[in-house]
Amino acid sequence: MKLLARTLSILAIALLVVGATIAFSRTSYATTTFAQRGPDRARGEFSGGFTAQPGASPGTARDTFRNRGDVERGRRGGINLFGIVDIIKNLVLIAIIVMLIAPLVRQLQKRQARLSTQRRAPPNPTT
Amino acid sequence: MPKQPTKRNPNSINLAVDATIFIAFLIAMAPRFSGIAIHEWLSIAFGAAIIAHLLLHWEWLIEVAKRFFSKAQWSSRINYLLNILLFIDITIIIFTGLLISESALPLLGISVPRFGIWRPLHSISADFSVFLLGLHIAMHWQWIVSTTKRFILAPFTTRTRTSISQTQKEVSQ
Repeated sequence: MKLLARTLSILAIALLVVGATIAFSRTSYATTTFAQRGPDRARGEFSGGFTAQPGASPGTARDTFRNRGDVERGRRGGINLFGIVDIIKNLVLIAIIVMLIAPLVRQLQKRQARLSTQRRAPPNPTT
Repeated sequence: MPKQPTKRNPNSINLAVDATIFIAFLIAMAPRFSGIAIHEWLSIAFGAAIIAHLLLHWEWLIEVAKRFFSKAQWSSRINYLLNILLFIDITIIIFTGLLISESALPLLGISVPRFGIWRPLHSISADFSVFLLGLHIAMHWQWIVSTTKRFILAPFTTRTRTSISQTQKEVSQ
């Protein structure tokens, strides 16, 4: 029962986020900002960052995507091993963030622990 | 006397769930690799796994929420804000993903009206999620390392040492 209540509360919060997203999508800011991006560009970004040749017209841009065949095969069909590059790319990005942030977090946590023990310790007797 | 069932350490369960979620995230973030159908179904399952992850850490969520404005540590506060952002981001990804679904929802016979904003919003929030997940992992890196050592590396090295000593004994006999 408790588990169900917790699950429902998570879903309720998710529903709030969904409501806010729908409300945002109806604002003029969202329609002007995202409509300019266009579906093809977004699709290109999401499916591996392939880009159109600079200066190409919209009609030809669709045909000059790098590795377009592989991309479409991967997207529409089954598993495409060339798509493993996307996994490696994300993994490298996450590894870089962890390498930069984790030591910082550790240092700050150590410092915070030291400060809290100093606060808990009785004051030094004055001579 | 009936044998008492051995209770698994919650940390090992957390590690298993988190590792599964991470692998699912990496695959779901590469639709070129998995194909659109696996991408969509895996992402729906990923949503369920996130709920399981939140339920496993429910006590922490409530505890920090209560102490957020009073005596919570700075790291807990940052972690909490980061988790809220990640939750919002993942909810947007799954929601917009369902709206632009090409395989999962049509298979269930559900059709949603197409709206130009969903696809770019899906891709932007997906890109942002990689950054947020990197920060989330960085915040918990110490726990990940220590738990991996304890539950994966330590049993493995102990087993290897035992087998080596057994072989040495057999050789000496």
